[in-house]
Amino acid sequence: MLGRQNNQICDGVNISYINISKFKISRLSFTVFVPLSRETAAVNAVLFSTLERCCRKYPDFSSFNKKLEELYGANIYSSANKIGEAQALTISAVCINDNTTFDKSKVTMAVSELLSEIIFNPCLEGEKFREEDVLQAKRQVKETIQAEHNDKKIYAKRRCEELMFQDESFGISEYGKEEDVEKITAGDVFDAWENILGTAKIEIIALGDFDYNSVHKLFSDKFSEVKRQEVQKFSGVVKEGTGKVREFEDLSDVSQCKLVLGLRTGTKDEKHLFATKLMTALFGGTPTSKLFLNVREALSLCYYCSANFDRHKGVIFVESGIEQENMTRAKEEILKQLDEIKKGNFSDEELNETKMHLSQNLEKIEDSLTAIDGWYISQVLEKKVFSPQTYASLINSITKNEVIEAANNVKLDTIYCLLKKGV
Amino acid sequence: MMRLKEFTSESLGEKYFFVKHPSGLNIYLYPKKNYKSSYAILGVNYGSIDAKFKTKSKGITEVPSGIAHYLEHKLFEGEKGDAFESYAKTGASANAYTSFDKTAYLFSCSDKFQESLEVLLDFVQSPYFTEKNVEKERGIIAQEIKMYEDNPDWCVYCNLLSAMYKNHPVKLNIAGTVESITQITPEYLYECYGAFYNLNNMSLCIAGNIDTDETMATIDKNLKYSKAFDTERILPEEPLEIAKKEIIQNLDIGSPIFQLGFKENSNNYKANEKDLVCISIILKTLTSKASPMYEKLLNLGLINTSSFDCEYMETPGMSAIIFGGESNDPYRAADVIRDEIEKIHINGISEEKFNWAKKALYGENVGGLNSVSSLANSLFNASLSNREIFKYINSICEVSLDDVNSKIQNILKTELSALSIVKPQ
Repeated sequence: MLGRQNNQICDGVNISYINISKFKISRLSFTVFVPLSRETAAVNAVLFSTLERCCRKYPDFSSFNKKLEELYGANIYSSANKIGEAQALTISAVCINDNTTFDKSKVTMAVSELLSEIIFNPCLEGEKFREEDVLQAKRQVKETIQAEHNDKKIYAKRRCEELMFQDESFGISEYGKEEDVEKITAGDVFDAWENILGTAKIEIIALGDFDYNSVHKLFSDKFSEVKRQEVQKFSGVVKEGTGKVREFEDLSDVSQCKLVLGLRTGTKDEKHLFATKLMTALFGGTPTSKLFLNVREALSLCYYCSANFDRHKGVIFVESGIEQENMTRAKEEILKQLDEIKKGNFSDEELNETKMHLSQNLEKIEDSLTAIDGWYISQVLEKKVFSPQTYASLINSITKNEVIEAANNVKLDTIYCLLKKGV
Repeated sequence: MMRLKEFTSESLGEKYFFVKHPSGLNIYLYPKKNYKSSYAILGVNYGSIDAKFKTKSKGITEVPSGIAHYLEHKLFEGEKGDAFESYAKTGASANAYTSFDKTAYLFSCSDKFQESLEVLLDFVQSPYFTEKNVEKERGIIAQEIKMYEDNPDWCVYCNLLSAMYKNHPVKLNIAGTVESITQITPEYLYECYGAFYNLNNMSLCIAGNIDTDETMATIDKNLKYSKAFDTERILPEEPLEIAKKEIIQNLDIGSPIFQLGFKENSNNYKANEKDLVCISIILKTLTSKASPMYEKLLNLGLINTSSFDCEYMETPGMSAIIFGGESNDPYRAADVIRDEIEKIHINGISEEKFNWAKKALYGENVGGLNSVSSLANSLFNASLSNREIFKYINSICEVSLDDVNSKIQNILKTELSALSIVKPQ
């Protein structure tokens, strides 16, 4: 069991530490959570891309990165995620532990300080970030958005999300829109920085072998100089399905077409959430799931066909890559398999095997710092935080009837097809 | 009980065990204290480049391309059922892959490890190919091939290899083509299985929460002894020159990507630990975010931080160094890289750069000792390349600037470089 130490630094800012001695590395992450909105998504993404470049102490890209290489190739990087209707922006630092270095140098503390420096002491020119840093950061974010078009699986899922949630903030990308990135100024980035430090919900997670008191003090000191205001509120929207299905398609010059189905689960309470998680795995989450065995193995229609549940938004996405002429057949088969679960056409054995598969995957989380970090970051906005073990035991307590009930609450909402041009 | 040979890294407090089993199988066991999970990989020294081979009984045989990969898919199906069904009963997550020179079957789990290991050993040693089950797979593999045809990262890589190599089969797609796989039959699959899936040609690497005695007993009980191994790889002569300097493909994508590859002179030669350390340090000084080349490429808007990378690749009969990523101007990016390489050929690497690159490489490798999957995979790769993972880490500590600077003279020859570009239509 992971023992987690928790401290509030100030209103809306929390730091936690799990001391884990089995690893030779440690990890520190700093995540801000803000409501996802078209107005701010792009500038926030650009801000984090700007921050990861350098800091006042190491004021250019090379000197900052040289410092990291000297700290045994420590890595500091930013990432953007969507958690329900929140934009979560993280700067993570990973380094080897002090006792594994050649010279027993204090790498973990030096890296913690660097992480705090890039967040609290960035390179500014008055009330603006430096133009050249912002220009580079904007290019990075723009190219990240453009590159999504390179991977058709990611692209098709993104398009389905955009179209299905065009009236909800969940339809907004965690990187914002390319045209919004274009318009951002160095002054906008500064405003976003002040706003985030002042009003975002913030979670700092230290994992591994840190001198926690010092890390805690480091961030407490930094925040004592920040004027914190009222913390931004989040309102997660989980809509029930209406039963009305919308269909969308795009054309592209592809070898293989993509099919993405968006289904609403209307998740109501904790029990329902765990039942839906289990139901989705039975439906399309394992190599013995209904989708794998039928759409792939029995009909040989595709190489992949899988279902994933986003518990924060109460939505299941089914994704597959198929021939254009098999589109309808695949769609019908996928929905038929969901109906089978709705009717209870699955054995206790199948259900138990799925539970075992999920439990083992949850247990594995403890063997990776990245996985532990992600696990806790994804629950910061939740009312209740589960450890992987508790989560597993709750999944294991779900009955067959609860799975059937969860399946019967699932409603197809959106069908998205990426089709071949000129066919 | 077989005597296990212990390999240790005293400075890091790490150890693993090796034994050459009487059946011929190389076994590596890396117990990790306090870990919840385990990871096992059983691999064969056989991949897509082995479509032509020689055995004592049959002489030279040639088979359709893509067969190693097809075989990997088909091994999961046995007479009594599918291996995935057996894994479902133990709760493990299983997978497999085929590369140019390896085929590997793996699983990870946090419970019932011995049962899952039995499943792995059983299905890899029990081929069962019928007209019907081979036919069934064709549609699935065709879709896998088509999925890769839309993947620009994969296309840019395959195109680069086809530009660099005139004869070596790395220029051919690992999974074959939708056309070539139509020729695959149960007979071909049995023939290739018989030629290469021999315990003398395989390694089993396990890392994680395991008891070595119990694990050895399970392995011992489940191995089927193979006949003597006499299969020889047949690779064509490959001239040193590249086939062509440039290759371009258009795809419906958002941003152009490129790879610049340097063909290395390495017929039938595998780098040892020290060579590999030298190459890695040279590549770090060129492509680390702290390097002048990286900064220049970034400031000129020629690369981005999320995609630029470089790798050293090695399979029998070839090795290459490849730089690449997304770029709005691949030609200029390639020019900058070639220029910087010219510079280090003339000036060598400075002591300052050498020092940080060495520390960074060490840190990266210590980082790799923390995940059971990367440990088992490193052991597997090292096993097939005759390298030892702790010796590699020690070489990082011991390597000198002179070693590195003399290595530079033999690698990254501009005249042996080729550029591959995939751009939006």
